[in-house]
Amino acid sequence: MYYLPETKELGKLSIQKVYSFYDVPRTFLAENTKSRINYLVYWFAENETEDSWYYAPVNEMEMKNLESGFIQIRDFFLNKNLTVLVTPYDLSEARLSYLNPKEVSLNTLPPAGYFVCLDEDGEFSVDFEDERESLSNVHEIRIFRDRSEKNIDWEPIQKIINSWNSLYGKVSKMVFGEGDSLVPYTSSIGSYKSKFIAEKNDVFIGNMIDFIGAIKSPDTDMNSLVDLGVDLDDFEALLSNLRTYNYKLEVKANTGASLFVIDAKKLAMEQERIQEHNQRYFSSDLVPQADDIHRIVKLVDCAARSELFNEESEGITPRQINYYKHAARLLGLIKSNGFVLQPLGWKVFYASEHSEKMSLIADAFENTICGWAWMKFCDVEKIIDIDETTAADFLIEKANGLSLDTAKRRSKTLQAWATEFKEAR
Amino acid sequence: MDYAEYPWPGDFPDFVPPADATPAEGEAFRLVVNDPPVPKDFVGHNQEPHKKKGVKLKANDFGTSMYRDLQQAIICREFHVALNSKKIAKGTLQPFYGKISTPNKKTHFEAWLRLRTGIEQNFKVIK
Repeated sequence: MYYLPETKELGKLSIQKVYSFYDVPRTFLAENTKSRINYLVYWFAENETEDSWYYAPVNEMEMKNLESGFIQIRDFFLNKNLTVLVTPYDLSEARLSYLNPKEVSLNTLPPAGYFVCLDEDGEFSVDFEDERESLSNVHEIRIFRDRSEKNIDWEPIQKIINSWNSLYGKVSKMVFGEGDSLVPYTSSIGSYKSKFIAEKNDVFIGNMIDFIGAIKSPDTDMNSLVDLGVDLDDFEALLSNLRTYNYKLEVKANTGASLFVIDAKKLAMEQERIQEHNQRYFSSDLVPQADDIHRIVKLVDCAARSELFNEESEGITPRQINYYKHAARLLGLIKSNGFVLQPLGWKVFYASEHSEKMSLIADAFENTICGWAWMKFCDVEKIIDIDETTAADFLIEKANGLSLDTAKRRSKTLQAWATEFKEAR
Repeated sequence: MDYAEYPWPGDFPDFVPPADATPAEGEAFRLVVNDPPVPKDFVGHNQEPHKKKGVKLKANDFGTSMYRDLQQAIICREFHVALNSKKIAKGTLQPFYGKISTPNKKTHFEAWLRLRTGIEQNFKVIK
């Protein structure tokens, strides 16, 4: 059979199940008769002289999920290294090559919405169902210890999941310009397993795979990973929690394929390098984006008087309202868990002169991680001595997880604040 | 019937068409390259898109894939990206065209076709 050649790499294969047929089997399960490794095979191209096929390794769980008809066929080829087998019709030697997940052209994969189905005679076929919930945006995490007889404690689980969720939110923000949050899908207690719906699942998982691959190389410049959107503070926190509580984190695809395991002990060197990097750089979360400093003063007034500070009162979008509240929290003016003033907020509220209010806020900014790093960047001791035109360069160089455009946009807040602080003195 | 003016292709072995094949008849859908279809659109799989060699070719390898149900032909074309550029032609089979297998649950069947029957003129591209 020209379409199932024996190769050095894949060995002697036998077809176990045929899912689609057109002249010859076109989507099928092939097993290496010696190693018992199974491959899901899909025909993706033909020309005058040869056919081309994708071979995706599949485990027992994936085979079960494929035949259950709940997971679309396409998903079994995503986020995996695929083998490409080219089989000439004239029975000359088959050619084999490999593609990593980023190299696979998505429009050569089975299209979305096609599932395997099984009829009452035990015959498989492929059906199209655009209405069916495909679970494509689901991944599973498993938090476990090598010594599985120990109980699973809830506190570390919460911390690890929080870090994982935060990593997802940051990748989403970096790549799509909007934050997002994981949604628990189903969870079960054993080791601790939980499935999460992530609207941007493929990008998140793909970027995490690339990130983990990249940090293992000692030559990787952490700054070169910025486009992946993986927040290094969050990743450090994840490693730290896994290490402290002696857990490992396994991430699985919706198909049941194990994508990667984060074993903090094995990543000790990488953790050290990330820690070192994080001391010099800071998370983009710590950069305020609230251009009008006077509106911060107004926010303080509203909080003190229990008045509304929202999109109606301010005539700006809900997103912008959130930016102002975030900036007020960064400055230590309001509490993190509500619209309630901190002591410094009250101090600003009771200050009688506008210049006094601005001076208090300027001092507060100097004490934030972002303000402090900016003064270090400019080698000045007071925020009023800073050259505000350096804001964009500073963020591009020192803030993790900001694209060039976002860094330039965010720099406007820093520039505006520095200018106002100077004018108020 | 003998249909001597419509011979079987010269490369058909003795076991093709198989003994249980029945005379061609009824409505059928076929994926084709050309619009209007040409004789080459109806050659057996062993010659489509290029003559294939094989040590142990089976009867199916000499057949021409067809569907009874349009929807199944669409699914086949859309699911296999290698077939995405093909067109779906509809026609009615005649006994002198050749013989066919029993359709499976998805209405797919093989047609073993005689030469020079002009089958391509009886198929029209509809999708």
